[in-house]
Amino acid sequence: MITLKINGQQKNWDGDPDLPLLWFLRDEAGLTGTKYGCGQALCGACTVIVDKQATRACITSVSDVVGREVTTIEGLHPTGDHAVQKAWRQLNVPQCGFCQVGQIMQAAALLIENPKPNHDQIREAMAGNICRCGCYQRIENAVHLASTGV
Amino acid sequence: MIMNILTNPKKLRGFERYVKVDNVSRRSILKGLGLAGGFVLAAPVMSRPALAAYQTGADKMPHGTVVDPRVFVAIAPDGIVTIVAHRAEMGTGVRTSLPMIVAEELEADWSRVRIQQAHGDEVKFGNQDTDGSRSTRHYLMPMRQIGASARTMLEAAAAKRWGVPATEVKAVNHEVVHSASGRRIGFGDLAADAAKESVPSVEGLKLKDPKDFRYLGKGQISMVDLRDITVGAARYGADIRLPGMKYAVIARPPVTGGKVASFDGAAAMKVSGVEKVMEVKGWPWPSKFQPLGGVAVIARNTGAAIKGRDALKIVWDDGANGKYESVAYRAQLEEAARKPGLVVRKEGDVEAALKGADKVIVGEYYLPHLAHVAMEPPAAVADVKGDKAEIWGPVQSAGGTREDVAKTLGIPEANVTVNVTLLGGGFGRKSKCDYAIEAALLSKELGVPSPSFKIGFLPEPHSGALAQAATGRH
Repeated sequence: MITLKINGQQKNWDGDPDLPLLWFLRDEAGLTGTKYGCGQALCGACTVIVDKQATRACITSVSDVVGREVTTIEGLHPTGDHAVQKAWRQLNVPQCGFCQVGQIMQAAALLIENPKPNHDQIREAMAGNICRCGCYQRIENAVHLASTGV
Repeated sequence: MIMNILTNPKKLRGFERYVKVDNVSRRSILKGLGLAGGFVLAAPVMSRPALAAYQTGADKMPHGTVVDPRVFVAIAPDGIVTIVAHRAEMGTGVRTSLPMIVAEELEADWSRVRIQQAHGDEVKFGNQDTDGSRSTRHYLMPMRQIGASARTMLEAAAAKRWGVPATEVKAVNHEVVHSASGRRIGFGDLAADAAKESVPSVEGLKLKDPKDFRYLGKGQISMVDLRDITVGAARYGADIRLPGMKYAVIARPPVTGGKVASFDGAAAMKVSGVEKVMEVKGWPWPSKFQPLGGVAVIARNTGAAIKGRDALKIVWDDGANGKYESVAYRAQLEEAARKPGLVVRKEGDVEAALKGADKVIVGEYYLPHLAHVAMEPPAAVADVKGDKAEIWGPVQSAGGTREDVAKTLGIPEANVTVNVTLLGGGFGRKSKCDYAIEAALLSKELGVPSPSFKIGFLPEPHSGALAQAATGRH
């Protein structure tokens, strides 16, 4: 039996300890906000925050996060009003929206580590998150806006 | 690549005259849609013979490019206006923009507009195949006319109630106003009366002057799904959860047209969480909109199903395309491209112009086969019970999906409900509904609601999407 802490709540799992966290979140815990894009940490759609680090849930097994705090989009802010989420809405960042949860979690992790990133730092931190619609300029501007006050 | 060949682009214009607006309040056309409210308009847009010459890459798809939409507006007694979005949202914003066009002409207050996604039903809604960059081009005028018709009927109802000429009243921001007397009535209060008004003819409809637009072209309205997307509440194909559902992943032929020669699922069955391994039906090449077939692994979660799929031992019969080789194929294409082509349009004297030119640039361009790689892998959820099927999925063609699922299961179309989720990108790939059919076949076989995944761009031989693209399936 594995006990996980997800969005502040204890969750038990008595199945495969190698199960990728992504599938535990989506199919066992019902937290479908985190998306499956590639399954190989190539796209960033599945990004969650583990402790304070942006983490690809598709290649992280549940046993890897035992004793650590997992935060998903559902737990980022109680009313969905994290500075990054607000900035995202203010600048109308999404198009199809599928990568956006991963982008938002990556950005939120960046701001934990570096509350005032410059544009180069934003680009570097966000470089692993693919947006097939091409919302990159708005993503960059929204991260900047979130860091400077929404 | 989609190519538009327009023999006479002028023929494309003026299609507005084919639009006919009907009042269907007293008909049962909305049955099943669950629209609240007493006032309902529908606008069947007649097929446009002039468009028969309009060739696009979508012509080979179900229902071709015949445009026959019906769009619905409902106004509830509390004033909430519900507008049906009949086309699929994949990031273009069309789920917002088409209803916004209706709201503009209707003089509706956008904050009191709700959007309802149409399920797949082309008899009711007309062509729903959201493909070919057609939605706004084809529906701007029909949507304006639908909004203007509703507004005219609301104005007529208000004028009757006040006993004044209709020319003296005007709809302004969710109310009808009689400025001479200062009276005003909200849309909600007028809805029931307006529904009894006859629908004005399109010829006499007064459309708004674009200078009076409040929403169109102003860039002030956000996508209706914006908040849901930012909080992780937006629902895509794989986000639907039904009681008792199982998760399936299918190992598909590495070569299009290939099939399973034999397989051993024993190791897959030993994977924790895997419940069943079964061969799934494929269609002979070219399978078009039908599934490729393969071996499905059914599990309690997707991760277990993927691990199970990786443990399958499958011997594939590659079939005729097993000999396909991209270098040789490229040479074939180049040879074909260098031969004289079919002249589709000839204007002016190109040969003379080239001969007289100071400089002639000759070039050859080559594109390899490319996968669509939408961020969201094709996925669908199906619940098949007896002769009824319900599908949830990110499909570009809701009507086509309904038709194909019905055909494949051998049940009437009327028994198939296709619920369109958001699409995490489409790019034409999701105009093909093979994944919805796979989910339906699995659900039928298993007797439980079942989702089916196509795996995105895994560089593995049994990656369905990649294998198909690599052999030029789409």
